[in-house]
Amino acid sequence: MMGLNIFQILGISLALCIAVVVSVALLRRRIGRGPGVFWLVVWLLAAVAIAAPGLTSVVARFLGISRGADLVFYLAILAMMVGFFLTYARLRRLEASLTELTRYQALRDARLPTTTDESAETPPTS
Amino acid sequence: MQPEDICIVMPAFNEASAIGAVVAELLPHYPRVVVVDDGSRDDTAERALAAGAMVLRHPLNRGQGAALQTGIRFALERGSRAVVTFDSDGQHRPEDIPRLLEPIAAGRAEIALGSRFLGAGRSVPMGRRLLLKGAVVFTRLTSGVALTDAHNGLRAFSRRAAERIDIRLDRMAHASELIDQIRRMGLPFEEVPVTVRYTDYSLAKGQRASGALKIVFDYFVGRILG
Repeated sequence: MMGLNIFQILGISLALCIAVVVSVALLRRRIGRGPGVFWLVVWLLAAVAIAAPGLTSVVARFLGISRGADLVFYLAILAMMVGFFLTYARLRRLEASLTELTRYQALRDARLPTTTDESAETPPTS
Repeated sequence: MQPEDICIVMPAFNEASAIGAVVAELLPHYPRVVVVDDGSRDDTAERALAAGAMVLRHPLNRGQGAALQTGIRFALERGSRAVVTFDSDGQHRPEDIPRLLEPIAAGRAEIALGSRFLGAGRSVPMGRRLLLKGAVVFTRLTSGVALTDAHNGLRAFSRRAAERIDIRLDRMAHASELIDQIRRMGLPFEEVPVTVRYTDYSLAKGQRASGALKIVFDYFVGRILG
């Protein structure tokens, strides 16, 4: 095995640490099975790619991309776009919930004027 | 239909200076006026209440579409047989309401949409006219419904229509969403000529061309993400 430089050692350590954290979370069922396995695979692959950069080039050439670094770059952009989309969709759901909550409170706390013939419907003020 | 069967729904955001007069103008003819204060930072709610309206207050600003839906739900909970949406800035005339309700009372339509471009002698300022005609073309393209005025806040709904309409685009794109729902549900509608009173106040509070882009964006995102 060829020698690893300092950045590789740091990068691999970091990726493996995160992979361990994900594994523990997965075993304790703190995250769902699907996302847990996904992130475990992502971080293990990251560790492998840092340890043996040549491997990414092999995969890249297989896909018709000349350099491994380019493949990683494209994948990162794709992942970011998917991430933005999912976050935006979640934000919209959150906004819809917020509106529902606001509406619920507004309807619950309806204020009626006491001077019109609607006054019969106001709750007694005893 | 008796006046008590009709609920006037007015979304309002920072309209303290105008709301009292608008409510006072409506109440003698329509005893049920509900103002939805959409998280105003001024005393819109107090002024509306003092003028004799029922007041719902959104603790947070959620947008005109959200406020309309809140008001419509309230009207339905109170057993209204028809719901009229009316702008709170004084641009609409109470005299136009009977004409909006007529096709509904007669059973010709479930929804009546006010149009400032129908009929003769309508004075709409040039800038407004261009923007609104752009909106008409937009509605024509996206909803396939040919209207003369797609974005008029003065509308009337039968109870049946109000029960089915579900405004989910909280901000200004609700106007286009509404037309989409009318078409999808096959609700019969009519356009009714109404007069919009353009004042410096209502023009200052109206949408600008820059706002239109944001509305178009909201609309398409709503169509894609549901």
